[in-house]
Amino acid sequence: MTEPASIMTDGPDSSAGGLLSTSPSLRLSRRVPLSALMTLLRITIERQVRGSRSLAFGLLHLVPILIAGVTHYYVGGFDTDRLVNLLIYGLIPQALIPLTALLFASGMVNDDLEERTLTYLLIRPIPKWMIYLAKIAATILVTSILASFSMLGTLAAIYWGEPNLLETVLRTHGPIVCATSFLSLAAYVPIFGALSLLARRSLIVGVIYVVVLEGLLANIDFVVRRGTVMYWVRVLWIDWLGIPGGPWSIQSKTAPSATIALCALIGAGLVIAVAGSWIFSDREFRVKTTESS
Amino acid sequence: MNQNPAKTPAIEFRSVSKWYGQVIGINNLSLSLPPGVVGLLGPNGAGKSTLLQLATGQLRPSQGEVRILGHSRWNNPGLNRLIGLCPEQDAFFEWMSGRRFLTSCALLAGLGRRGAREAADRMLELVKMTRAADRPIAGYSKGMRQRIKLAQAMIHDPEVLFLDEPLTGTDPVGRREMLDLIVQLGDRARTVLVSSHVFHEIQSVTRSIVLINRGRLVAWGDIRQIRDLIDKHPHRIVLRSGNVRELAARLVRHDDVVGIELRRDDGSIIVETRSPDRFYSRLPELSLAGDTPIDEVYSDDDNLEAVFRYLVSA
Repeated sequence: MTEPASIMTDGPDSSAGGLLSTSPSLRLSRRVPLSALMTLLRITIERQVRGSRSLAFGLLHLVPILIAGVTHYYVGGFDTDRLVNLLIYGLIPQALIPLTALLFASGMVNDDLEERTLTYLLIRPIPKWMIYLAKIAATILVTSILASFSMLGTLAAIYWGEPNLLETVLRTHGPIVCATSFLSLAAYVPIFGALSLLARRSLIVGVIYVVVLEGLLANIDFVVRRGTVMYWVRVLWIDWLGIPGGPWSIQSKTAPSATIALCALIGAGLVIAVAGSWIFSDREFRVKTTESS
Repeated sequence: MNQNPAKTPAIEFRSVSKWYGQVIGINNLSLSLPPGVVGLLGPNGAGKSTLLQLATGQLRPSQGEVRILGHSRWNNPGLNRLIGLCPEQDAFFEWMSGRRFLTSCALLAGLGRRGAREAADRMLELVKMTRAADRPIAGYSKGMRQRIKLAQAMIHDPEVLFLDEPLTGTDPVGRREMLDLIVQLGDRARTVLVSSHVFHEIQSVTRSIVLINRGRLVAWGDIRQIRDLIDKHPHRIVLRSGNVRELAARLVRHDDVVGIELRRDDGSIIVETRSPDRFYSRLPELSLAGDTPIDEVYSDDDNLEAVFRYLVSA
């Protein structure tokens, strides 16, 4: 330090910024290399798949496969369609997928915050909104793989021994239910990600959302259900798989087109992801230290 | 690229305050630091980490402005190319090896793949961690983790380096090596702000210090000048004797002695005097008086801790 020593008792240091020029001496680059973003994506994926949560959800996604397998072999009068309705159009998309999205999305920032590793990301030349969006992308990827595993495994267990097994799993039902799972997760993950930034008890709020909106309101023939992910996913199933919408009170003739459903899911996901990234950008994350604690 | 390095403060706080609800983290702090190594000193809870988190853009000032190399700090990620932070918290991506952690940090800092690998190897060599580089961080000792943490802060060769308690948990050899490294960085015209609550650590790397307490700037400048400024404050001198009560009774008669504290545990007393020279000149006579032999004399002010204690209590 070139300035003389001084003892401060009150008020600002009057010399600060006085004689010294304050114009920036170095020009800053705003460019973010792709390798930095890919590294961020990789770190988030590794964190997601290494935690005990991922193991728990891996096991949870085995449940419909086991149900299908057990029913197939041990229940007399086995009804393939009924089991498909129960598991592929019921349990997995209505419970497993949103809950998986909730758990993974609420942890994508909070895990780094709790383990105090967020600092290593925030002190890099990557805008905060990009950090958030990379985390969203990684979470959608991981949860989509889990959901696809669950969907395809369950389909295989249901159609095991049937002549149309491969056709159903690999060509007709399989790719479509995997695609709709991905689309639903592309909406759920941003929703629950933003929720984790806004609500202190995001898991509880998220479960209430899943039960009330996606579980209850999505089944009631009322305009509100158009605000649920489940409704638009069902519209896609009706259009792409040609299945009747009666059980969900959706008339095939009056239902929105698949294009509108696609736009609704992707658009909602994008808008909420952008809103979340804005919240994340504007927020400061105080990392607890020995001093602060 | 560096247009005018001599005139732009590397680190500048302009009337910065930071509140956490009702709690004040930093209170109206102004500071301007040019390149070189500067020690940031203060007891635990003084606001050192808050100051560093403000300087590294993790926190937004509630009031005032933080500028690094002339650039506004908050929400300015491009500036992170020019700064490095060794955080206080002992946190890592535990599943990674030291080498992978450093390579990942280099990639995140904007280095290309090849550059990141080379930088990681270079840093591992620098912090003497090459042999353990491929072991998982989870199995590292505290000292090894500190070295890796310091390496990640330097991996992209930043202009300004913030080190938050970097020597915590290091062994004596590692501590010496890290201190040498910090001195080297300062010699290379880098700005290094090292925080610590252990004063002798800082004393061995720089004479330039910033003292903060309760979020306020207490003093800043050269430690010797600060010492001069505080000479008007009482000096504390420790005397050990077999008859401390009689010794204390004799000392208290002198007008320059402003306080005496009896230590029951080790048979010593701490004398506070406003005139250390007069006090020291009187000691031989006292010791030879017969019933008050003085076994040991030492100043309690011979380290930064004493300086700090004076300043924060002033």
